[in-house]
Amino acid sequence: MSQPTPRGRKAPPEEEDAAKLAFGEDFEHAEFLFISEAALLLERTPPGQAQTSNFQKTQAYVNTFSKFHNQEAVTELRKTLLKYNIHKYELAQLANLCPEEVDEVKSLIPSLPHKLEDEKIRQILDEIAALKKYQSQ
Amino acid sequence: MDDFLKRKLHTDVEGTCTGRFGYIINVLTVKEISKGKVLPSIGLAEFTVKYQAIVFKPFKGEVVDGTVTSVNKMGFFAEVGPLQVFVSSHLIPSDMKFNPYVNPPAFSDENNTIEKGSNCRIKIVGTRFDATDIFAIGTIKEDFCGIL
Repeated sequence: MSQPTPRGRKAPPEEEDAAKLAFGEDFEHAEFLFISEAALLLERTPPGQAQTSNFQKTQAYVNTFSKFHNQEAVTELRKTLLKYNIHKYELAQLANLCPEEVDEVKSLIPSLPHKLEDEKIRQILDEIAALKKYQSQ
Repeated sequence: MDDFLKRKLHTDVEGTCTGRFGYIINVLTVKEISKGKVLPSIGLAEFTVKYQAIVFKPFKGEVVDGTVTSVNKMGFFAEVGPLQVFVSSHLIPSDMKFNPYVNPPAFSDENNTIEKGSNCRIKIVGTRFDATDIFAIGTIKEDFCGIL
């Protein structure tokens, strides 16, 4: 089945840029998964379904870079981050990159510091670090 | 019938890549299957299926972690899941020098070495979509990017 091509609608000309939180209209309502969440979801795939090379590469990737290894830690992390009023992309980047310094956040996620003051960012980073440290293996 | 359509969906879309959605990694749930419509004159039927899937699409300005796959004097390639990212030597800090005489070849300064297998934090500066694949250009000249 080929992709549905909506008639009379052209591809959006707007430029996609993560720094400006512009992801195009297709992704406006999409959820941004953490690498750790993707790892847990891919793990549950029935073996017969997991054959494409892209799937295997992705699985290898998420297993390498997943920072939180069990369901409880990941759920807790999302709950913690949802308390703060930040964009879901920023949320995912915080969880994926696990920055340690406020300056690091400013450089890696340039859209975030405009909304939050340094102390708030520091507080988020400390909460992430604590969760990462005390997750059960 | 539903089972057949689901199986068909899995085999048809999983592992593909489009400019609009990026890589479709894995179909999670099928939400809705429409009534079939037989196409006039060819006898095939058409169904519209709504589904939820894990996709991966790189965006400009995004920071990602990747694994280095090959290094040469022009720069290095890294893999971020299914995505290939190229980091040109112009976008590597100038104090990291290419050294072709070690095995495997590497970019290195006093402290860090980028060689095949290293994990690296990269900022994506541009993406190029073609029919079946995505390529990205990255930089590690930014603060807090580079070797992990």
